[in-house]
Amino acid sequence: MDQQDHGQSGAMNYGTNPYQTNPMSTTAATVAGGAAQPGQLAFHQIHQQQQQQQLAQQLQAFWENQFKEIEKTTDFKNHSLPLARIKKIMKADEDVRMISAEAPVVFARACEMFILELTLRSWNHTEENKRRTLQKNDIAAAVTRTDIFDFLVDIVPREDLRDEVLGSIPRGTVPEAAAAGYPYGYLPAGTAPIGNPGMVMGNPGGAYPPNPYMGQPMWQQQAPDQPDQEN
Amino acid sequence: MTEESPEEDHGSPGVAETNPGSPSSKTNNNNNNNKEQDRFLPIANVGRIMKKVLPGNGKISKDAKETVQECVSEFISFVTGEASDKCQREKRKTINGDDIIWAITTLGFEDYVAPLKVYLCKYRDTEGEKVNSPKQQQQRQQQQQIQQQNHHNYQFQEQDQNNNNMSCTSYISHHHPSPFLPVDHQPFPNIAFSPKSLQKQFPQQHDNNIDSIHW
Repeated sequence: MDQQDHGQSGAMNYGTNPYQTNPMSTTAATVAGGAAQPGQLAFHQIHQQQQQQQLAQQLQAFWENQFKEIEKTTDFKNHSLPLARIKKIMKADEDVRMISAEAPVVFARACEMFILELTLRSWNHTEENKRRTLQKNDIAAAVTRTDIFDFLVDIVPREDLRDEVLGSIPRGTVPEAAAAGYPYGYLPAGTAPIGNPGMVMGNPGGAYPPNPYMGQPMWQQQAPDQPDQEN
Repeated sequence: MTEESPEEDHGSPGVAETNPGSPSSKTNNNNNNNKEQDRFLPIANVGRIMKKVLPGNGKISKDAKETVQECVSEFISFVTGEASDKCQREKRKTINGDDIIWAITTLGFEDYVAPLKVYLCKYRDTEGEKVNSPKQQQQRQQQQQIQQQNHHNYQFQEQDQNNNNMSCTSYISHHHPSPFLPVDHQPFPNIAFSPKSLQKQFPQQHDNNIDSIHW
């Protein structure tokens, strides 16, 4: 079913959604009444870019803050995460023999940074949908959009990716329209996903302007030929 | 369930806590009965960390916390596997902090590397020659003794940090803390955010390892 929509323009299909659902959604009606179809598209694109720029700035501030916090650290006995549990998770790998005392300490800090980055990127998606509660599908969106989180694609089921689509389109929208709207809002050009549904693979780079996120080129340079694990 | 109940009210998610993991760590370190639970880090700790980057009125669903719990365990296994492979290639039995940082670099988490190197460096300064001890429990006792002995050094370190954020590296360079060293003699007067710059300093840590110093 997704494949059938592969060839259609995500932008065009998405643009028709607010009108189709006009009777059912106050929000959609407001948006639809506020602008013609082309204008609505432009507005959405600008919003997307602004959101991405905001995220890039937040991440930059985040990493600077991390460095400063670690500079101030003098106490290595109190951790945000229990070392014994980290060690146990490490030991789950049968190949792991001995673990020095410093390894879980480093991991405690690394995991904290990981949780913070994942949450920050997920919250970006929450705000895009004008919600105040971070949900599982926000995490799915963050995983999809971030290359270094590819190893998590199996942790976040595909259903949550669908929720990502449905969550942004007013209730009552037909599945076909929902599927068509998927690539437009959530997979900006330049952030090619790996191991995601085929309909997604066919869209990046085509209809959208380059992703302004400054961090992306560094990752792409290191992995220019990204293997598709799902195919 | 005990550790989860505090999170269910969602009354004021925006309030940050200092050293929030301490009480929880004590409780959870003694919990070895629930194997299922042991696969993940405590949801309370995870939730508290998540709240640090959310605005005051932001909320987190339980589903989201549980998903992040799974993601973190996967992250630990992912990095550990890479580090373990490296140790096997080099025919070493013990995974140390450098191996973890190397694996994190290899797996693409570049932004994590510089902060973690500084963190590990400072940790080793604090723990001295205990860095490679595999007996964690024994080391904890020794840590307490070292902490007491180094109380004054902590004060000097903190003073030094007010003048030079790279004091940890300075200590490595001299192979011992030098609280009386004039500021203008510090070999690294500026903060080095560049991974390349830190990479130049990083080999010194190995020297420090070899020439372990008794504080």
